[in-house]
Amino acid sequence: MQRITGKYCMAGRSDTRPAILLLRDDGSLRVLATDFDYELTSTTLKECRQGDILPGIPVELHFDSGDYFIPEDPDLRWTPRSGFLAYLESHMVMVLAAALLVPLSFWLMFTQVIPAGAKATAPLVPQEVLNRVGRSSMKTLDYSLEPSTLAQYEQASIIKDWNKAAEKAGLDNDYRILFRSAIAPNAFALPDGTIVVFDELVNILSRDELIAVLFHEAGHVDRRHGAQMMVQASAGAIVYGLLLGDLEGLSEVVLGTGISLGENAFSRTMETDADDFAVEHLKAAGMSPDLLASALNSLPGSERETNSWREYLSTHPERKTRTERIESASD
Amino acid sequence: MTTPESFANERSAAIEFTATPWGYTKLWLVNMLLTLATLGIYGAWAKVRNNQYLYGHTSIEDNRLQYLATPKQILLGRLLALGVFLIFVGVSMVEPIAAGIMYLALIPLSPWLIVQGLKFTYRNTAYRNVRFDFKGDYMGALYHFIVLPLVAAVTLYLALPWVIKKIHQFMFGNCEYGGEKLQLNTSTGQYYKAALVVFLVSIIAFILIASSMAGTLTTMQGSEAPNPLSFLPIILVMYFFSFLVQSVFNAMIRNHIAESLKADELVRFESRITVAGYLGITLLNAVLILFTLGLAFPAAKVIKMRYIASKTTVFLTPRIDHMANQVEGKESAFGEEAAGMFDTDLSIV
Repeated sequence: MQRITGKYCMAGRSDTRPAILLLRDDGSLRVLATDFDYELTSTTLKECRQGDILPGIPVELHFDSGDYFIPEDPDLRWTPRSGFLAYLESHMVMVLAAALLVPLSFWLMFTQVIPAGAKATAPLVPQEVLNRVGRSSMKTLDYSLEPSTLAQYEQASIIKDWNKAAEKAGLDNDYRILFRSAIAPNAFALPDGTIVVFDELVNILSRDELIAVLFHEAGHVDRRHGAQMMVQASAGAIVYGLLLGDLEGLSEVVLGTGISLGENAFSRTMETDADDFAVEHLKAAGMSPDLLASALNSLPGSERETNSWREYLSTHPERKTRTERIESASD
Repeated sequence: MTTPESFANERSAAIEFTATPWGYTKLWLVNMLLTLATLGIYGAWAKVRNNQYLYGHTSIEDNRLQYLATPKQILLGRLLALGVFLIFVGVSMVEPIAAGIMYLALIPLSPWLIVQGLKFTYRNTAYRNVRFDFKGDYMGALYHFIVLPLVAAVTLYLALPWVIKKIHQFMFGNCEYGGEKLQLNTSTGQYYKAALVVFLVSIIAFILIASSMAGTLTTMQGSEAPNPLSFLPIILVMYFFSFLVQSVFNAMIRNHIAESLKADELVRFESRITVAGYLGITLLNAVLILFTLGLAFPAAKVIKMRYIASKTTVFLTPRIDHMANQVEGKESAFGEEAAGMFDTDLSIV
C-alpha cells in the first residue's frame, strides 16, 4: 500500500485540506484529511480521471464528485505508462530534433512547399477571378498613376509593333497595353493580361527594347504569376495564422522578416521565369534576346556594382545575374 | 507614489514562478514540431499545454494557477476565425472596395470580439478552483477601444495617457474573482508622468533615426525605384526604440497598476519593478531572439515572467480560503482566436 501526501481540493471552492491518499495494489484508494484523520473520499483508481501531465507539475487525480487530490510529488504518476507527451517534451532526442526540424520546416514551408503548391494550383484559379482581380487592381492603381502624355499615334504605333512581334512569335495575343505616367521608368503586368507601360520607360528604350520588355511582362501573365502570388499569399496567411498566431513582439518581427525573405526568393524565380519566356519568344519573333539585356542595362542604376547579399532583400534578381543569363541563352 | 492601504488581517505571499527557460523551451519546441506535423491542428493542444505549463508553474501560497480551456474549444474557435479570415483575404484580393466595406463592418464588431476574448481568457484562468470572470460589456468595450482612441487622436494624443488609464481600468476593473469585483484606482498623474519620460526618450530616438535615415537616402540616390527593403536597417532601429520606449512605460505603469489593484478585504498587490531591471530583461530577450532567429521566444517569455513574478508580492486575507466559484468556462474561443488571427491581441500590459 502506498501513502501519498498531498492536498484535497473541493469542486468549485477555494477550500483545501492537507490529506493523505492511501492506494492499495488492487487500485482501491482512500483519501484522509491529515488534520483530523477523517475520510474525505474512497473509490478506485479506475473511476478517477487523472489530470494532464506536465513537467514539474503534480498530476491531479479527479473524483466523480468534482473534487480532486494533488500529490506533493510532481514526479508521481498514477498509471505506469502515462505521460507520452510529457515524455516527448522532456526527451533530449525529440527536443534536439525539434530544434532542428522546426526552423527547417518553416524554411521549407515558405521557400519550397508553398511556392510549389502555388505553382501547381495557379492553373486552377478561374480566368474570371483573374480578370476581376486585374480590373479592380487597375482601378486602385489609377488613383496613384498619372495619365500618359504620349501622343495617340505613338501609342498606336507601339501597339502595332507589339502585335506584329507577338504574332510572329506565335503568342496568343489577348494582351491589353495601357500607357501611364509615374516617377520611375517601369512596366508591370496584371493577371487579366493588362500590361501597363510608363512613359518614362518608353522614353529611354528603343522600340525593339520596349518590345523585349513587353515579352517579359507577357511572360508573367502567361505563366500565371499573379495567380501564383494570390495562392501564395493566402496559403502563407493560413500557415502563419495557424502555426504562429501565439507569437508576439519581437519574435513576430523576426519571423515576419524571414517569411518576406522567402517570398522574395519566390518572386525572384518568377522574374527569371519571365526572362526565359521573353528570350524564347524574342527568338521566335526573329529578334535578338540581347534586346532584353540591353533594356535592363538602360534602366537607371545599372552602373551600380553587384552586391550578392543585397539580392536576398530584393524581389528581383541582380541585374548582372539576369543579363548574363539572357546573354548565355542568346548564343 | 501612494502606498496602498493594508487590510487588517492580511498575510503576505510571494509569487513563486518555478518554470525554467530551458524547461519551457523543450515543451514549446516539441509542441511546435507536433503542430507542424499535423498541419496546425495540434496547435490548439499546444496552446493549452504551453499555458498549463506557465500557469501551473506560477503559485501563490503553494496553490498553482490553473489554465482550464480545452483544446477542442480552441480548435473550434480557431477554425471559425480562420474561415472568416480567409473570406477577408479572398475578398480583398478580388474586390478591394468590397473589402473596404468589410473592414468598416469589422469596427462595430471588434468590441464584441474583444469582450468575448477577454471573457474566454479570464474565465479559463483559475486560482484555487475559483475562476476569474470578465464583466465588461459591449458598450464599455465600444467606448474604451473605439471612442477613446478617437478622442486621443483628436487631441493630438495629448489625452493618450488618460485613455490608456481608462482602458486599463476597463480591463482590470471589470475582473471578478468568486463574485468579488476587483477595483483599479489608478491616478491619471502617474500615467502622464510615465508619458513625459517616454516623450523625452522618443525625442532622442527621433534624432537618431532621422540621422540614419539621411544616411540611407544618400546611398540610394541615383538608383532605380527604391526597394522597400533597403529601409530595413531604419525599420529595425525604429522597432528597437519602440521596444525601448514601451518597456520604460510598462515598467513605470506596471508598478502603479499592481499597487492600485485590489478586491476589498480580499487581495491587494505590491510591485517593485525597476525601469533599469525591466529594460535589462527586455534588451536581453531582444538579443536572445534576434540571435536565435526567434527560437528563444519561449525562453524569453519565461525570463520576463520570472522577473515580474519575483518583484510582485500578494497580500491575502483569510477570506481567500473560503471562496466559491461563480462561472463556467464553456464559451467559444472565437473572440480570442479571431483577435490572434487579425493581430489585434491586447498586449497593453
